Amino acid sequence: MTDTSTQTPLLQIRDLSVRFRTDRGHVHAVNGVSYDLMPNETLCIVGESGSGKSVHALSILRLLPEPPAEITSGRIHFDGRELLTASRQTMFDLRGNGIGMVFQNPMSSLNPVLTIGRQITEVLRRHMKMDGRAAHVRAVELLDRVRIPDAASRIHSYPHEFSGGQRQRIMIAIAIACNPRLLIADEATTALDVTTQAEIIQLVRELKDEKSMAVIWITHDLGVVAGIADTVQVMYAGAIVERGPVDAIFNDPRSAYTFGLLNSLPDVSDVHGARTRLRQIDGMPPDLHALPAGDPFAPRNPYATERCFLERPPLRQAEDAEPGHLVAAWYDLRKVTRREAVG
Amino acid sequence: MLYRYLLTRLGEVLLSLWGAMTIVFIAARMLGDPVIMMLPMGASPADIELMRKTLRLDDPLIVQYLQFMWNAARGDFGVSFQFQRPAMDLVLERLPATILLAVSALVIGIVVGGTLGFVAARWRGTILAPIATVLALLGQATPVFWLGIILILAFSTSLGWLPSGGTGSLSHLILPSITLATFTAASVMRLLRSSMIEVVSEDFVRTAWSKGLKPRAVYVWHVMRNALLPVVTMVGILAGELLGGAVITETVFAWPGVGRLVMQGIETKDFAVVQAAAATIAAIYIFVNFIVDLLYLLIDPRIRLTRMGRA
Amino acid sequence: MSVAAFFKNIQGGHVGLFVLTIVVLLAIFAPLVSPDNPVRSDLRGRLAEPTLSLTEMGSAPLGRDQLGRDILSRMIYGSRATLLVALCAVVVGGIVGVTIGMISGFSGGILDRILMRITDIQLAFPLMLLALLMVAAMGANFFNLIVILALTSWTRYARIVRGEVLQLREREFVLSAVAAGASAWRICVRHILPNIMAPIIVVATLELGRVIVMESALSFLGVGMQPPTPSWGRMLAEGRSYVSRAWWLAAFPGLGIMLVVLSINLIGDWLRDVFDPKR
Repeated sequence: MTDTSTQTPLLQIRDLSVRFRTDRGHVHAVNGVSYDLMPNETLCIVGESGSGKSVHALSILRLLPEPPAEITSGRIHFDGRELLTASRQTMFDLRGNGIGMVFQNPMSSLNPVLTIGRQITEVLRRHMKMDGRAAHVRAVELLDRVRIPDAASRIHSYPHEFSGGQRQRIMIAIAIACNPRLLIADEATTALDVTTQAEIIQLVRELKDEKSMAVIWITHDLGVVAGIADTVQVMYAGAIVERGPVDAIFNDPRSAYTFGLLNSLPDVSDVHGARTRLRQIDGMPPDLHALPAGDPFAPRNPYATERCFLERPPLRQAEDAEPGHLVAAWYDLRKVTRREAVG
Repeated sequence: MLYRYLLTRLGEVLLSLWGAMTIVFIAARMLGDPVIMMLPMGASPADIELMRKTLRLDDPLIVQYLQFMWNAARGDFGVSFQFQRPAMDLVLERLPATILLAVSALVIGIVVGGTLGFVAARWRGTILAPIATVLALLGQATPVFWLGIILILAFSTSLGWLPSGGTGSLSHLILPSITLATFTAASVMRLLRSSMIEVVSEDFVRTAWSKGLKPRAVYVWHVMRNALLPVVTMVGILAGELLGGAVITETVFAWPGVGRLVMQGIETKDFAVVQAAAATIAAIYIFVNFIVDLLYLLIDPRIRLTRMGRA
Repeated sequence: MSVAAFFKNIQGGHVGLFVLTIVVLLAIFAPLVSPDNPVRSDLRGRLAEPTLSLTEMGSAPLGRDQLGRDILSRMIYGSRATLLVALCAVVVGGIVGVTIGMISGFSGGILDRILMRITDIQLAFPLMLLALLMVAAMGANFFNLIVILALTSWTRYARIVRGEVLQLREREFVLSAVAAGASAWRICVRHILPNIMAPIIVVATLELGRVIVMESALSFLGVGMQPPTPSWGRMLAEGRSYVSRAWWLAAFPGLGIMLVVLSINLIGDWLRDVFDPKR
């Protein structure tokens, strides 16, 4: 666990808002996101598609195409530098160096016409100023480290000669090649089968400790979160609805949305015979063109109060909860669910 | 596996050659009775009959066809009655001039079109993009023969900078090769541009940016390298346009190549020359496409496996 | 819609459609709109310079040729033959190509392979050279030109249609029609054809431009449309000898071809974007 009180954060995001220009007006993808990430911390960001989790991650590296994307407000402070006002040069030097990134689709994320060796050495030569020979040696080590069998000879292979899981390992090798202080994995295991998924998560956990990196792990699947997270942050309609230590989120959720997500997970303890209660969250995801004045989740929330529809709740410390367990809700989930259980 | 693919492809080449020669044979037979053209006016019926016999034009068509194929395979297309020399010799004499013209045009077309296409895709939001696009649209719509005349009018007749026709020096090559290159440049530009714009939004390009690569590295190694694949395929098709365009360009600029020879042959009904020239041009075209396929094999690693697996 | 918004929404295809419509109207109403008789010689007005004035009576706006014939009138009449031949060739080539492509794609097997081999063989011959040989062999009358130009055109339809049919063949509505016992012919015409009209129209448009250029090129080489029918390519060829003295003889017909082909290409690109929204 990370001691949050003494260290300075590695990454500080304050009031980040991102929108996209479309034919139908602006899509408000990220709306006032603020949080800190400590060195060595693993933060899992959970949300459905359209929750702004990927967009906010891409804006950390300034990888969003601008236009149509537009960062309308906020500050992103990373390792002593302000990224939103940084020069192009600073960003080029940071990408792949201070921050490594792994993307969702391993099948299309590697260049099909270059050998994987070339794609790994490229980043080593760029940032570590290695010559061809040194980069080659290091690339073989990296491939070996991410457990690609027979690395020395497979370094000359092309992406299509690898399986999906192997390609994602190669992507990870590229992302960690320059010993970044932060690794962002954007739905890195979504496209993979369950076994491969577990292997990749295990690999990232090992690498995190080895390299003492912080990790931002973005996923829509709360199931993977338990195995890797220190802190969990749940996003909805471009805003954080709940955030806290992983145990607190799983055992004592305070947002109706988090509660819904947890309820839609298959309960492993229930497997023998008993009916597994799998509940979907009713209703449609919000229209990001025109967000309501109140809590965007209110229309789908069975526990919503009148205030939820009128006023947007701020993210604040949850009552009687662990320090650092934050929630954005006007209602008290403990009371309403207890009443429901009784009734 | 590779050998099997090459063998199949080679079989296709031979089939295409056979088809091309058949087309040449049919066209040449339809050109008209060569005997009438060959003999002086007022030749006696007996002379005509004798000529027919020596040319074996009395044989059944199928025999003539087989004979033609046999001769064609050995590069023998008969004797030009106008020049009184083997037609193939005439073609071979003019071939270097045509190849010089076509290769210069191809190089100019690829370099200019490639540059314009790259610029239009790389600096998409700037004023350069629409300028390059308009140039390409104009280039594709300009008839080769008209462009040739206009260039002669401008640079030869009016300004007097360059010769209007003939051959002999580098300055003679400039106008014809630019004329012939225009369509190629426009096509390359448009294809490269749209192909690059497609590739720019691919996941692996985002990966390249996330690695902190400089724009030049991203565009050259990740965008261009992939966007070039369809362009290479098109070079084969463009070679056909170039060889067809060469007939017109050579006529406009009095360039002593095979294309002009075809026209002379058609005008004088010198069917041996037409046969030899058309067969040579078709053979070159088929050969170029074969080379392009091999080239594709080299530059796209994915094809190496899949195509060979299929073949 | 405000004027500014109107101009902002204009696309290349609209401009192309506008220009092409005017050219087609001029061709249809040639006798009404031509300022002069296209074959009447005015020996005093030989190589008269363009006045670029449509109001001045008896003047030649685009000049007169070596026989004193009015170039504008010749161009208007010349567009008739050029456009008609090209249009017929594209339609004939389209019908042949679409039919072969459908047979090939729908039947599959040995027939498909034979038909596609024939297409390959024909594509292995430079089209311009093929057309040249055929014109030289068959002679250039209106009918022959259509056949020859169609011959250079059908392969492109056949290939695209075959590819589309191969995809559609596996789709539910075709499979259900097959299951319902519809004949192959009926399935092709009623179910497949309507679904592949978009790519066919795009190919036809782009082919129209190509065929016009090729017809002009043949006329320019002296083997295309025969006199006295005026044609843009022939006018260019004749004007070529006078280019140093009277540039307008060759310049305007070429400009005409370019304008028409440019318009058609713009329409083709536009249609492709309209039919294929993802691009």
